[in-house]
Amino acid sequence: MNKASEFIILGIITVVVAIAPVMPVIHISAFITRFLIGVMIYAIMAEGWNVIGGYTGYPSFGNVVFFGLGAYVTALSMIDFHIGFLISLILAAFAGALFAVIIGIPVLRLKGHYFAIATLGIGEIMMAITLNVPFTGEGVGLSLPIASSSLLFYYTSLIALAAFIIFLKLILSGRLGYGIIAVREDEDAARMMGINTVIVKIKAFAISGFFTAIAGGIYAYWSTFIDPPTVYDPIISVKMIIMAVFGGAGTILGPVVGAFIIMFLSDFLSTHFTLLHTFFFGGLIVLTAIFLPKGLIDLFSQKKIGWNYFIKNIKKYRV
Amino acid sequence: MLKIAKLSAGYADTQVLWDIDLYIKKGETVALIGSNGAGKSTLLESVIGLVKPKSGSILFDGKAVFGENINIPTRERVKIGMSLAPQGRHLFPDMTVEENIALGAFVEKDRLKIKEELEKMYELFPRVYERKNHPAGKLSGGEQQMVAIARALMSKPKLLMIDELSLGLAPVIVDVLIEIIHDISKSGTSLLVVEQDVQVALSVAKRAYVLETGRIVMEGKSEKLLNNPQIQSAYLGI
Repeated sequence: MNKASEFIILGIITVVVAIAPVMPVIHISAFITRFLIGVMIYAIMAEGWNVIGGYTGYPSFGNVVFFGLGAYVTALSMIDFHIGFLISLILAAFAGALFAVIIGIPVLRLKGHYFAIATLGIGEIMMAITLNVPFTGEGVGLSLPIASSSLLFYYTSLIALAAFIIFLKLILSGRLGYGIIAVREDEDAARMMGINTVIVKIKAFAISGFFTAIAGGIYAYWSTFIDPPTVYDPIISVKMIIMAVFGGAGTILGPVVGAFIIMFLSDFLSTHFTLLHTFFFGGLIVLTAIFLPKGLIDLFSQKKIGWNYFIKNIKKYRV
Repeated sequence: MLKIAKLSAGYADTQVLWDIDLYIKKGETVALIGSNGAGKSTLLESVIGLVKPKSGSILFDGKAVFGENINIPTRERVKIGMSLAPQGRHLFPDMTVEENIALGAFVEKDRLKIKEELEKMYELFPRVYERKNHPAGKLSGGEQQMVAIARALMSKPKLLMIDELSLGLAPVIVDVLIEIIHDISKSGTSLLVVEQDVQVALSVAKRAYVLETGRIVMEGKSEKLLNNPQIQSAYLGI
């Protein structure tokens, strides 16, 4: 990305971040607040997927497992142990990271399709376990206390997202970041450089699990009710991937931009074209994959955008 | 420096290397010659630890890196001074040339030292310096080979192994690379160079091994091998 466009994007973000916190206070509308909370929760998840799928090159199809786990840990910690929301969120985050380490040790040995399928399976396993273990409320689900104000969710998700972006930026300019990208670019060469690729992959997966679990925790308290089919829904994994790839996988801001636009379009299309919205939505994703394989954010790094840019993209990624 | 004894290695059910004995003295440059599928790359990968041998032993700098119940991981072998510029270069294509080279010093944690080493590489490879901000995947074959060698040198190896030094490169570039190999050797680094082109191999190394279908079939001084009728007919077409 060139200097000027980076400057523009940073400028936009600064403005958004500066204005965003006061938006709910000045009562823009409950609808917009609600919409933005949803965007930020998904942005955290898309960014979480981006760490393992975009930067490390391991396309997880089961990241929803961290979301569900985070939701359940938060709910159980608040209901059964009467622990406060924020501390419960932190517990959920560490549970997500720990779970990523445990499942990462076997599945991160797999590559490509095998890794994708294995991660898909883990989400299903967790859903089945949660449905059958008594203390999780089984299939009935869990009801959480109702928060006094939706502003709590607005600010927690904003802070979590901002913290994630800053954390990621720091990681990427350090040893771990280079290790992560080296694994994606050429894992064998990474080993030859003396990189402990196993540890690097596990750390990346743990970061992914940590933040995705926070998103799950915020969602649980926000929606006040969770059950296994909702929080372990594999469609959530697919959404994370679409948002990250649509915005630009392997870039810091891509998944955030992707989450915003996909959420907006999905809302807009489903209200205006109730029956046809999946058609437009699906079509849009197909078109993006063909014309913008590097994601929307890549447009900002181009000096000139013309037909040539799209034609080049088509040629570059076809067989 | 390096002593390999009775080494056998392979992948799953196929054995590739049989009873390999090979040594390299300190500061020596040794060539490994052989046709496609002879097992040259497998041998280098066994030495650096990317392939786990079936039996035998590898001693490096007086330390056993592979043997009975011993199998030191690659990263530890890099730390004690082994390095490999692999076949096909294996660069990180989307990273810049500079990032590629700097990653060679991953085991070094001191950023200043990495910078110092990087400057040395740019002195050794002025062409690479001109391309330092380009993505490595966009470079020509010769430039990529230079980056691969520079990257392998970043960990300050005592033994540098280069797999297929000249494969697919223009003769002019090969001459430049040979000069660079001589420079590296002069600085005291031991080298093991895998090469299919016998003339190139024997012009960089004083001593060479010939590998055929997984076994060392010949070993000796370069000039002696060049005059060997078997070598002449098998590799030089004379």
